[in-house]
Amino acid sequence: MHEMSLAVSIIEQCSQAAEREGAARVLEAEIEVGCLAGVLADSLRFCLEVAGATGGLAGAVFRIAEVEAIGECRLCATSFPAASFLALCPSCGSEDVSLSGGRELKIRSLTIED
Amino acid sequence: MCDSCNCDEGTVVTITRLEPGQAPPHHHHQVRTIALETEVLAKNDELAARNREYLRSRKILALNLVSSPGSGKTTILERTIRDLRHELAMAVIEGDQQTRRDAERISATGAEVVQVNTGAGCHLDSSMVARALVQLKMQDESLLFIENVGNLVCPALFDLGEAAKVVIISVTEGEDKPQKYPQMFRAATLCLINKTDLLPYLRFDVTACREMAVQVNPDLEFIEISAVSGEGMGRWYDWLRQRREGLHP
Repeated sequence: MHEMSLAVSIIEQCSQAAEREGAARVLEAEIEVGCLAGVLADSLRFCLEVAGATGGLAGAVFRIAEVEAIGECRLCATSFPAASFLALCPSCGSEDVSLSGGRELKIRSLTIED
Repeated sequence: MCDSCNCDEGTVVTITRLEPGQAPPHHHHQVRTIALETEVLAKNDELAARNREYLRSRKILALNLVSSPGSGKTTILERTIRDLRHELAMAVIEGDQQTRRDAERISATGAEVVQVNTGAGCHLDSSMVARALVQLKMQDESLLFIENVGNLVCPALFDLGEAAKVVIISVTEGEDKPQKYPQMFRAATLCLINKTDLLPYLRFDVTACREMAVQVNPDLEFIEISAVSGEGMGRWYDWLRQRREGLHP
């Protein structure tokens, strides 16, 4: 639901950055989305294509890199990649897991043409 | 075809007559990649930080109330304001897509209230709250409730500048909501389980609900309440008092 407003915000920030750099057009934008960021990558991709179809971003390719979270078991201290909030410790099965990362939502880079 | 700009140079023979003085018809465009590392929600987060600083400077405890539509957020606020009004100054920001109905209910309790109508928007953001704060006449050291748009998805993403999020689930909903909407239960500090007066008529398993919520957020606190019968409301008021004391000991 919120992916469209995020897409509009991403496009706005890409356009501003491209303008700052004096770019004629944007060829590619790389977006980083954490698996716990609450953003559906497919939905965001669709919204970016719809919302980005004009101006200097026309034809730009949006590449979305999905990033995993790191879970750390509070009982046995095992560290493991976690794909959801419901991550169980793979070595002792505990639910008492603290999660770090995975909340990323940012524009990593722009490939532009002068 | 050239890789960098899709021009046809090199693949076909082209014969072009130049007008005297005409600029070179073609040059290779420069392609480069610039690192940005820009947070998409930076604008919202910056404004939220400003809201938070403003509220802190006035020693106002701001709570962001989030839930599905119909969990009883407004009823909880009506009761809370009526029960605590002689002890605490309270103000409310009401978020709904349309109508001033909730603000009118709050206004009837005598509390200061501002209604934000988001139109098509599915959540409050920090700029809406900043604008509401300008209009709201709040006392220092008071309590500010921000009643978000009824939605368990989007409001989890948008920091408003609150001290904590309080998620409300009512026992007429499914007890597995915390696992269906983990984002919100993860972001919350306190979970109010509301409408407990209806438990005898339902098959809602409170223990199972709490267990499922703890799986997504091991630090989540719980209080079971009924805003209609008043059961458990005292523990909620104690929680509010503790949070306030934490703000200005």
